[in-house]
Amino acid sequence: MTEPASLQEAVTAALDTVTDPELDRSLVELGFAGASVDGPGRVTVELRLPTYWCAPNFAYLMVQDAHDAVARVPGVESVSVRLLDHFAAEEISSGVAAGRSFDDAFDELADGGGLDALRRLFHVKAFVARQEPLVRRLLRAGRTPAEVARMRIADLEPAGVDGLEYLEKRRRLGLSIDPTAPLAVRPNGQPIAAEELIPYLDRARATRVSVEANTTFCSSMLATRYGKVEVKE
Amino acid sequence: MAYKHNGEDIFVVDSHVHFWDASPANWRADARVYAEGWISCFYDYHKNLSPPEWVWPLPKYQKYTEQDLMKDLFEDGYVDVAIFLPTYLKDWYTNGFNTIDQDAVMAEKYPDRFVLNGRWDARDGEAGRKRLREEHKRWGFKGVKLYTAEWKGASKGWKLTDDESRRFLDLCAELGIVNIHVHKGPTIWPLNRDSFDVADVDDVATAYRDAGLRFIVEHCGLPRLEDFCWIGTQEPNVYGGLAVVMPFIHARPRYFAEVLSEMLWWIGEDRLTFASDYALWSPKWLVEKFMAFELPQDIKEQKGVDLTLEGKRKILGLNAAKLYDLQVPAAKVAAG
Repeated sequence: MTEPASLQEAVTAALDTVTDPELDRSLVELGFAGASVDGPGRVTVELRLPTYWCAPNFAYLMVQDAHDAVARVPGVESVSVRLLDHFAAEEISSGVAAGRSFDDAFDELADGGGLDALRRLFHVKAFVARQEPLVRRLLRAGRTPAEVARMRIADLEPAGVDGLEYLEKRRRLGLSIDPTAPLAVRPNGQPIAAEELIPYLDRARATRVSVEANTTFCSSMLATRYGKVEVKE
Repeated sequence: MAYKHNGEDIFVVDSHVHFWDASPANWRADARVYAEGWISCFYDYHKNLSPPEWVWPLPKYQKYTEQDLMKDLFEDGYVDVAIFLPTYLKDWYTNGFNTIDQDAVMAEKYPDRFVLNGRWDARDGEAGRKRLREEHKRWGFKGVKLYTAEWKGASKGWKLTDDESRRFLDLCAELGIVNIHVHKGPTIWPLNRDSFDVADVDDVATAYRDAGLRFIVEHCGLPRLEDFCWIGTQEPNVYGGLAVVMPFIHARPRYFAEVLSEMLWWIGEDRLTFASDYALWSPKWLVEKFMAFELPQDIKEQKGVDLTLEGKRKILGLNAAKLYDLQVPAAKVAAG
């Protein structure tokens, strides 16, 4: 039998791997979610979002991901994820509990395409938002765009925190992280030519600013809505 | 009260204001939870981004008076002209949240102070177009506010590119209603896609450019700022409405600088319009902080943009004055 204290830790650690798909930050870090062990093998996750109107598709992904991540923890037998204070809380919580897809849960309000395209769209944004400051750092260090365009992943030595984060987002998109692969690639894996690098980075910067502005706004809205959020440890 | 900078008057147009009634008496019995959820969300925005001394008690926030409106905008708020952007939400509020009729009472009483805008909903079809014609005949709109995420029965939203929407846009072009304010929201069909996507703005901006329509994207497309920036560079008839962006100037000045500098870089100072989104926020402190604001040096250098006094004048009023053919007193036209 698992010790309750360690199960609690394992469950919280599992929840910490779940991210807000738009902000690309951990639900635990953002203060959005907390898990508690209510009984032997029984876990309840509570999810609070910055507004009553947070987009239901994102909420669904978070509830579903939280459910799946916690359910995989050894010793967990049942998981209940409660989405609180949200206009679609009922449809989302019960939909995930019953193992339904978003399209099934929202039936005529969805077009049958599921949430995979949405998730990928935001993985792309996260990748681009990490890539831009990394490449700018390389340029600031004195490399020309042509030199950056010729770099391989192995040339990123030492990789640094920003480099490792970039590679992680790149791996998640299904792109090669082989040391011999070109370092600066588009979200579809195509290398970025020297003359395209600066315009590419300018667009990437707008993406980064957008993601960062949304993150700061959403996390402060959560604080406004709930005061200091108690994440049960 | 006029805003003076070094003795010169600054012309201020608040391009997005409301006179709403979200008091419990106006909540529909079958939609109380949504009616309350809507105004509570606004109130959180208000509390989150306002300076503490500007935070109202909730009951006042739910329903404020004509005196509040006139004082906050014109006596204290430095606003010369304010533009009403109606938001109906009749599925939740018995008399609507902020309707043309509510706004018209003020606009008719203070014709020099307010611009009254219309609205339409693509799902209203032919009946909606008939109504738009009638309302336009009565009030002579120069603009409309479109809220594509509005709920209507089972529907949770619509797109600008819908066939019915295009019929309304055709009618706007015919009637000379040229300023199309677009507000994206969190629920739009299909619900599984990104409901804040502004791609439909791109399509109609191209299609209606020659017809003279201008698309003012409220909140500069937030939370999809980057898509808006890209559209803005492609389409000369796309503008950024700074409602919701403005109050970041107090609570998150670094992000305000980052976001505004992106707007200046991609869209430019000629196509951005100031707005408080009153009563979400109040113009007085926004105008004061904006006039005192300077872009941080590192942002200026990295992006090669600046916010000059000339740019501030355009954003605060002169750009909107052009869009709405507003008379700017000679003393306020001069660049500083």
